[in-house]
Amino acid sequence: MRFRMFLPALLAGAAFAQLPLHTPPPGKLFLLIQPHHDDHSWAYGHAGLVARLVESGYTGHYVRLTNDEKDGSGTWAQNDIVNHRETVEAIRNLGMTDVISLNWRNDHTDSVPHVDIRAQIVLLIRKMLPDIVMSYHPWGHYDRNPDHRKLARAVADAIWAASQEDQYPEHFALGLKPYRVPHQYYSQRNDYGRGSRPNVAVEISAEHVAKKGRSFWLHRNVRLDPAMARRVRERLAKEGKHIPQIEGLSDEEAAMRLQEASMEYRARQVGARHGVRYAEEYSYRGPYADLPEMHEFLRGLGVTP
Amino acid sequence: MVLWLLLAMAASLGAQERAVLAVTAEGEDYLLYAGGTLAAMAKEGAAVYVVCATACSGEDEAAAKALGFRRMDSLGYRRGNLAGISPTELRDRIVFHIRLRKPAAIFFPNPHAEYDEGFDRLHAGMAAEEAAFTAAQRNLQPSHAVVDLAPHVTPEWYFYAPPADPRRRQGEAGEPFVPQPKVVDIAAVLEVKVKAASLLRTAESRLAAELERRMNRSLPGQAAGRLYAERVRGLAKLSAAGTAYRAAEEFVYAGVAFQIPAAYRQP
Ligand SMILES: [Zn+2]
Repeated sequence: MRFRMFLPALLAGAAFAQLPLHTPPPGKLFLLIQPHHDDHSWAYGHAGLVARLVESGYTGHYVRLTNDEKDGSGTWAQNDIVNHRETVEAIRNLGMTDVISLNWRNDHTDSVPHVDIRAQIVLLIRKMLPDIVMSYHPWGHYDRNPDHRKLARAVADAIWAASQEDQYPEHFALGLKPYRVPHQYYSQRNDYGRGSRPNVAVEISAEHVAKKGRSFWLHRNVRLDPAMARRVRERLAKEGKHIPQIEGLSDEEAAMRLQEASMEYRARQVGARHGVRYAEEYSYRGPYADLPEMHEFLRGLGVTP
Repeated sequence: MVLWLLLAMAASLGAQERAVLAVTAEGEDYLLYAGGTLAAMAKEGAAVYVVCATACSGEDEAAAKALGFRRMDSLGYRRGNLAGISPTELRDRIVFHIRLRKPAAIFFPNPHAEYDEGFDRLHAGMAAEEAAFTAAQRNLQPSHAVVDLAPHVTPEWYFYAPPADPRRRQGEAGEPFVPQPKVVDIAAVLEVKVKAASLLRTAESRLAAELERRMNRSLPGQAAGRLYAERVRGLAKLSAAGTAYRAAEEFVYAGVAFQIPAAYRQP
């Protein structure tokens, strides 16, 4: 299903370079660590990549920093419960197994010490030994959400600290060891300016895109917007136009289809920039990204950095 | 205010001995990313002082000595934990060193650099950048006046960082006097830097263990003992790429003109 209308001018005016098509590494486990219940399913990431990794055999856990009690039209207590339930549904739709909540307060993590958040993530990394960690971009610009900035930096710092023998040595009493996460994928909202400067494009399939669209609106409490569908239909009707694909559907069902179509359109636009049907863009950091000066030396040892 | 600023700058420029202050998170950072430039300054007669935000070791001091530096002082914070301490205390302790040494140039980790995983560098860099600015403010840390530590304007600022961001040389937009990328030829002191870095045995064995874990195999015989020499040579080459130099270090640099308010720079 394709729609030509219904595109906010999100991509207008920006100059995009063609990026290398990147094949995610084989592996067993990934952690997607995000501030909020719905941050796995934005147009800019990470749902398509998640679906692709799961399809290739990965197990994935969703780590959520806050309880999302502010997000939605209910009371704090209601939002907390509803958002948790819906994110479980949405991440399972993508093939992830569970949600690990770190229990911080929504939109209030600026006042939480960085090292408190980092310590929690270090323990998860050392216990689960993920091949891949995904999150917001720790060095991204222009993210106006305090939880996004806070979490992203804590993730990057946790990746460093988890690998160091002198950091959190109490973990070693459990038989855990220093561990370096080999692959990192970061995304960033790019709806105003140079929010993120990705370095790879990852191809995703039509099926991945469909799952991505569905996971988007499965966060019904904050995303599903029947009034939007009604407004779109009313506006088109005034111009004597209509969309056959949503004819006869309820406003709620029409909203689902329109949101899926929007996600499809975005994935198609990104794909077109990189010569494939659908894609997502990431800032990817490989196993030796922190040691650019050692790459030649490592190649000499037969290691591909 | 401006007259005072210019006088203070003239005083520091005309000081008998040129002092240079390098702020570092741990013993290896300033050495890896700025050690050659600082060694060249020491060779030309500058007194180079290093302030280490964590607890630098005897090895670190030996390396600083090998580079020809005057002295290394540690602030003693725990490695990996600069994000968890008072940023104001860290800043004000660096202010103390600035007022004590009255440097003509200061080197510190670039807190604006992207893709630097060293969060100790980020926090030491933020504190040092603020300190370089606030050390000149008369009303900051009035207790310093009691011990005759006067406000000091540091005319030259060198921001250093691992060369991890592919776009690091693009510079910032804006008028000509905002900090700009600067590449320094260090070919003449490269071997001194290699030798000094090779003294960092503890850091080197930590890196060896780290690489072996990542590669999931052992490093070949001699490789573990020359990792820091390789790092220094690799950095020199990366930073020299695209320039006429054989070995280099790179900075974001803010020189004397940066300190003069824009209004007084108009013709
Ligand atoms: Zn969010």
